[in-house]
Amino acid sequence: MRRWAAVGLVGLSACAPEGASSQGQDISDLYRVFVYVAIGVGAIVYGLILWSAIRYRRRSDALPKQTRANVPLEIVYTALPILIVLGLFVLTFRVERDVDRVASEPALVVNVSGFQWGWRFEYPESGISVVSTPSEYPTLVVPAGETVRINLSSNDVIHSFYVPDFLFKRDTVPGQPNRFDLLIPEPGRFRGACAEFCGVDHGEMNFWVDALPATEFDAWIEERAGAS
Amino acid sequence: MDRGTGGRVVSVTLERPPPTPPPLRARSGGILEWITTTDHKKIGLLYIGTTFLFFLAGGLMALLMRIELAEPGLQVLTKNAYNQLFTIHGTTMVFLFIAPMGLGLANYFVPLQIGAPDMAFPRLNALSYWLFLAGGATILLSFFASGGASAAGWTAYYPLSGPQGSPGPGVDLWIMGVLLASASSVMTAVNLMVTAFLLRAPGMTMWRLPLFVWNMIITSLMILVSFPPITAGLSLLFIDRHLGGHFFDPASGGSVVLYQHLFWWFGHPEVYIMILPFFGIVTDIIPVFSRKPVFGYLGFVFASLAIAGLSMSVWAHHMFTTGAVLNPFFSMMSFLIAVPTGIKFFNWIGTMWGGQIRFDTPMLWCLGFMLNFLLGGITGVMVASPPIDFAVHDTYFVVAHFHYVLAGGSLFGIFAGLYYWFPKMTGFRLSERTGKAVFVLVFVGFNLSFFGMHLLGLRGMQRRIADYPADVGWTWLNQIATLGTVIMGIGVVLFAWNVLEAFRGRRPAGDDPWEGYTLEWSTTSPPPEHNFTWLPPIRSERPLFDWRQRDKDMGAEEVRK
Repeated sequence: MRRWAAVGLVGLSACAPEGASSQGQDISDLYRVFVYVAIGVGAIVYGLILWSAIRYRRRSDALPKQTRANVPLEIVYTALPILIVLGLFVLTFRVERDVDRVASEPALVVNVSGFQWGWRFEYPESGISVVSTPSEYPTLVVPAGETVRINLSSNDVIHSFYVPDFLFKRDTVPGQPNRFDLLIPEPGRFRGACAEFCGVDHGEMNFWVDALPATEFDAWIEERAGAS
Repeated sequence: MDRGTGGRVVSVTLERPPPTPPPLRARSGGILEWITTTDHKKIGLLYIGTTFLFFLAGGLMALLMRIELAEPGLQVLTKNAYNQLFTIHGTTMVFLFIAPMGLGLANYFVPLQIGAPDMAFPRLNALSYWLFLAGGATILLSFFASGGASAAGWTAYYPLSGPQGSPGPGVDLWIMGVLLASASSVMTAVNLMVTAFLLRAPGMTMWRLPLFVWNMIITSLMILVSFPPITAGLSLLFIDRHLGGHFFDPASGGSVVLYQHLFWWFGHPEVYIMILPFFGIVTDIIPVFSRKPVFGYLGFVFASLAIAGLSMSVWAHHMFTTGAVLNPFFSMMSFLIAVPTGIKFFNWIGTMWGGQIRFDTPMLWCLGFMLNFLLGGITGVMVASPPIDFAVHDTYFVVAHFHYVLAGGSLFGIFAGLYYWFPKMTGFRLSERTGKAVFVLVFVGFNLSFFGMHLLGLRGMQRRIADYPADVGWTWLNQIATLGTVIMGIGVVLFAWNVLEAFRGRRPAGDDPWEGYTLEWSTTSPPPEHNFTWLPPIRSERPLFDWRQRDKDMGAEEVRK
């Protein structure tokens, strides 16, 4: 019985995508806890609503007991939710701290700027610049297994750098530089998009993130830096 | 169900009020009567009718968007048209339907529920309505402006809404329309508060107020606190657009994020302005159909007050991904709002518990309200956690969340109120069978529309896009959503038929078809001008229930048969 319940829970939480970055993994774990708590709370409250709706449907014209209040019960159903949300807050606080933490010495810095309607990825250390073209979405190439600092900026309107597989987005806000760290443990190719509505071609502001093994990444840098 | 007009128990009938005189129906007039009226019931009906028309317009926009999204690629709309549609859809539902529908119902029923002849300031009330209508017309007619309506989203974030981002007059008309509607809301809020504080009938103490009235007082309080910031914010936006201001322009030392602070300082209380009236309605209806008093009256009022207080301290949870407000304070406050909201669920469950629940249409809508709103509340706790918000913000997960709150919650609460009070407002009975069919269609359609959007959001579909790639696995979920919206649309059309049929059928509703508890059921349907010729004594929050019990206590049981 318990095993089946566990299987059910795992199945339900499968709708949470795995985080492909280490920060995304933390978020994914946190999301899973929230889903479990939501299922628990939801099961109780949905159960109570449906039970009372079915059990106490009208069967006679008798006047039921006119209960107005039950103070101990009311204290319980006020206090328990407070404890639950405090617990969730503590977990949230820890994960948020980890996700927002930026390393003092990242292996690579990429300056990402959003514009209407495309992206520019600049590698200040090697002078490489990758920009959207009308025919092609740009690719942000980063080394797998290393901490990458992303600096975000915009000169026109607000955009948002969003990679669904990383379970993460951060806005590019004119006049307010943002930054975050990204660590992608395994090589892979991930779809990215603009998440903040930014005008007519908002839906076309897509990009790719390629996480390459360290040697391939170095080769890519050399090739691109030599080409420019 | 008749209150003993058979005259079999003489001692009781003698103490009754004199037979109700033929209702002084103020239905004379014609169009001039409606334009010049200061009667709170007529103004209430104008509000309800107008907001419902706006709802139909907003719903049509939603249907067009869903049809566009049924397949990848662009089939029926251009991107620009799609952007205008979702901007005006959101604006219409928030500013022109849900919030003013709450105020319209309050206009009609707050005076009735407290035993007052009218609102405290009848002419101010009329002004509120006409300003609201002007605002709504300005927003909707902006589709015909050169360049079309605003396409900056209902939040109109700067710089997209600024002079470079949106040069046309659409945003200006949008600003003017929202300013008019918000001025109207502030006036109505003042009016409602003064009415509820000063015009209560003798015996109607604050702790005997129907909970709809309590929630309208608290809603009014929130309107008074939250509408000035949006008025200021939009005025600054207008100055930036046309008068060379630089409040939000970072190139001149302004702040882009400041606009969002001003907007959400209004925007989050607004969320509760759009739900508290319907919490109130549902909490009036459930006890009547369960034949019990509300469970935990005091807890309910304090929960509403707590929601109002907390709603002022959570605005920045809409801005976690801007990186400007990573302060955990906003997360904590947002989590805490779940507590008073949870209390309300236990109020409703406790009221139903041990009752004798009759599932007439108003109660069905209340049940649907609870089932839908619960999911919206649960996902609300999730998005209050910044890391989870980083994942789902601006995706269809959030779209699903707030539609579960505003459509699954507020809209179902509106239908509950309309089905509950329609007999009182018109004197006619709605067909229960049609009403139940409407409920099933809207409930099924709603859940088909929006449940899958949670998954779409988790799979990375962002909001506000007219087109999406075919190879990302979003298509089937979008098709289900479109199908759901069509079913919901059929339900709404059937509702319109439900209402028209009741006017044609003219089945008399009687004064008190539901065995109600509150004072509006003690007068005729529809109530005469100035509402009452007689009031029962008010000894609790259920004066009419007490009055009926008094019959029984005096041995008049057999009269009821």
